[in-house]
Amino acid sequence: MELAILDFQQLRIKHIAYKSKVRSVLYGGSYENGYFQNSNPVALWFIETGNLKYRHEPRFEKLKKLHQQFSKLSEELVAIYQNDLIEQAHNGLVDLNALSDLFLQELAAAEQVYIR
Amino acid sequence: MKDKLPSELHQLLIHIPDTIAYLTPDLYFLDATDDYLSVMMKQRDEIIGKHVFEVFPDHETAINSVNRKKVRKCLEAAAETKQGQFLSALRYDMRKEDGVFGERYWEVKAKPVLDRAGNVQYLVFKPNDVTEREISKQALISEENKYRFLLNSLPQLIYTTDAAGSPTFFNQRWYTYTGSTAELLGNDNWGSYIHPDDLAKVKEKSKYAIENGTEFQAELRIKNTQGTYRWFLTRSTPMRDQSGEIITRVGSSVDIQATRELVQELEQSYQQLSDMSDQVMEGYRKAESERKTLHNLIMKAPVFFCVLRGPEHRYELMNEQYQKLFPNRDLIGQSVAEALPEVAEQGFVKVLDGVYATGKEYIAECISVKLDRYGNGKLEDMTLTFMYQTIYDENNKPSGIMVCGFNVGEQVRSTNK
Repeated sequence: MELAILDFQQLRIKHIAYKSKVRSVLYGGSYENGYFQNSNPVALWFIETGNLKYRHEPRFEKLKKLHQQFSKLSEELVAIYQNDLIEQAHNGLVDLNALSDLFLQELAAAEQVYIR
Repeated sequence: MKDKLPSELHQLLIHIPDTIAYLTPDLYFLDATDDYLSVMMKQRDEIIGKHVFEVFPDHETAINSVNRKKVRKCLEAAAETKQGQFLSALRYDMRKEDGVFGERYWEVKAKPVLDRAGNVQYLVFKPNDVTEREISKQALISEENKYRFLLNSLPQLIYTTDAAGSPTFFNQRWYTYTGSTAELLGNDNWGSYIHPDDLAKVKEKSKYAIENGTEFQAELRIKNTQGTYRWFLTRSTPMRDQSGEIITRVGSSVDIQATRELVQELEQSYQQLSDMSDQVMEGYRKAESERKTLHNLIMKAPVFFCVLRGPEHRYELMNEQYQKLFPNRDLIGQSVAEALPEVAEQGFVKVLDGVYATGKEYIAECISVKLDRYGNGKLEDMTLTFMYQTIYDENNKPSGIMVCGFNVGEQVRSTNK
């Protein structure tokens, strides 16, 4: 049980770190290909932990889908920023935050099952 | 009356379709055109023979309107110099029909008419009502001032350029932030306030935007009065007239230094947190694996073992060998005194209290203990060797007692076998 809670906590921290990374890139921080593509820590969590241990959870697919939407929007905003539409990219953070809120709500609900 | 208009031309003169008054050289009305009377809202008999300033007195409370002197000078100059005179737009308020002064603006022409001897015989006085034009001009100036005030009060750095990109205006914030002056910035040296590493990129983007009539955005560092650069987000947008021609470009720069720092600090903190979380997870997995090994070892060990938690010595954990001392009895969660009153009677709870309080371990070798093994009130003599040892929590405070030992009687029996 405790391990599951730690797993979900990890997902939460990785998601927030990912969000802050996107925000940082949109404010001039460095863009690392790896972070945004095959070695994205949240995507790795789903591959290495989520798919193996929690795929039976009713909320798992929804959580995964929300992450994919979040990831797709992140990529789009970075592309907009790199295209010199900086204000538009900053404005897009509102939508990204809304997706993040949904993701964190879903995560909290999935985690609740393991909290006694 | 000082003089008269020539009678043969009188009708012609007063019907000229323009606002003209005919004056004596000393500024008395001889007559005026119908248009003049209409514009001035006067009847012919109200003016003929009267002095100009008797007919049109000053609006004494409106300082801007007191232009009698100017008009007098203009008329007198026409009489004296025998040259035509012109006064550009000036305010000269006039009474309306209700007697109240109304705001009016005029352009004035005065032309002398000379007699054969070269003396001034008449003055032709033509005031031109430019009130409407002047009021809209003033409205435009006031509107411009309003926008200028607005631009100067904004916290952003605002600038405008012409269609070719040469600066035409910097707002007050630009001067305050950079410590520059209108002269310096006007000399097209704005680039000296941009960080050298950003300047080329900005110029390139700006050039492209000007050539293509597009807007551009750029993050760049601008130097403040202390010589420190701060990050700004600059956006320049073309403004077009009705025919679509670019008439000006408006640029604004917003200070994003604090946001940038905050966002990057946050990113680093969360990255560190994420790394730490990975380490904790790794440590937890390792500890969990070791705990499992230890747990298995203890549970399967050939000695009896239990953990009593807290000062009341409640059973928390026991292994198979310990359970064998009390077959079928569920002791977990009960205190020793509750579950085994006979043990308390034999003084062992006091010994446990002592070990818990002092941390000093207790070893009993081959002692005889009476136990109610089946919970039916029948006491059985057992010969046991065991030890009590204090367990400490993460703050090094006693949290329980570990009991470990073996049943000597059983060992003797198995040896005899």
